[in-house]
Amino acid sequence: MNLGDVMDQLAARLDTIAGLRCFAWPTANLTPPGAIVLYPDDYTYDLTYGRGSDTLTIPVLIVDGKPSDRSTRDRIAAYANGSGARSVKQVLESGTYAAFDDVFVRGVEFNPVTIAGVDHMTALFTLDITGPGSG
Amino acid sequence: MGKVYGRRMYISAGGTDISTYCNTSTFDREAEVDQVTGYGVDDHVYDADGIRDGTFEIGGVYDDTAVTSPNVLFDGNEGDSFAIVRRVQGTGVGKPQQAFTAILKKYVETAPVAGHTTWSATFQKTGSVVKTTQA
Repeated sequence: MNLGDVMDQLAARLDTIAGLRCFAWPTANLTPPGAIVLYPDDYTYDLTYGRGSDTLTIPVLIVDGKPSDRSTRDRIAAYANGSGARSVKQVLESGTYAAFDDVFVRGVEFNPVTIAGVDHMTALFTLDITGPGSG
Repeated sequence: MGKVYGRRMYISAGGTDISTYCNTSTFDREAEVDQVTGYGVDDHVYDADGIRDGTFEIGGVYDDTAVTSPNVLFDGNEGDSFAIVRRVQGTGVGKPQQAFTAILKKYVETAPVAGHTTWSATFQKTGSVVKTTQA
């Protein structure tokens, strides 16, 4: 799989969620609410013989507003929901991709982070991806 | 070259290369032996009667796109005979090859909710194994 193509196509699919600005690489210029496709946690070769398949574990980070705001909670809840128009899991798993075969949104973790002195609530999704080993 | 990784394995069934769908294979071969222990000894004595047997087990990741993937070849064809070609060191001039006929005894598909759907097939070898060197 071409890692750049994988990250591009994930970001393009996330971009269909209304109001979510999406980036296919870890950018420093993010205005929340936004989603960033991060570099893989791991890229494992040879799921099958003959360079048939490889696997990736890719994190997708959503950065939203102040953790103490109700509107932040409502948006994060919609992204983390297992279904719905703004569900990261539903949107990504229902997509059709050329760069890989299938994606499984395994889970999400929630953490507040401080960026440039401002507190933001984040949701970190873990994606399992399987695709061709050659090409 | 010394020790070999399994990723190089080539497997075909019925003339179709299924290597890229497989990630495990086991080829068991055995010979029948008879006990011929006589009086006056402290240890058993055996003799091979010349009859050999073997089972071939393969498995891998289920693929929903390819026309010639194992689920298409094997599902519903239990009891059919397949011409098997096995190249444990991979494909290349001078490398070993085993060819034999085997009857599909068992075909299994497993679908865990949070993992890849997988398949496995168990074959009974019938007749001899033809060992050659690839040209």
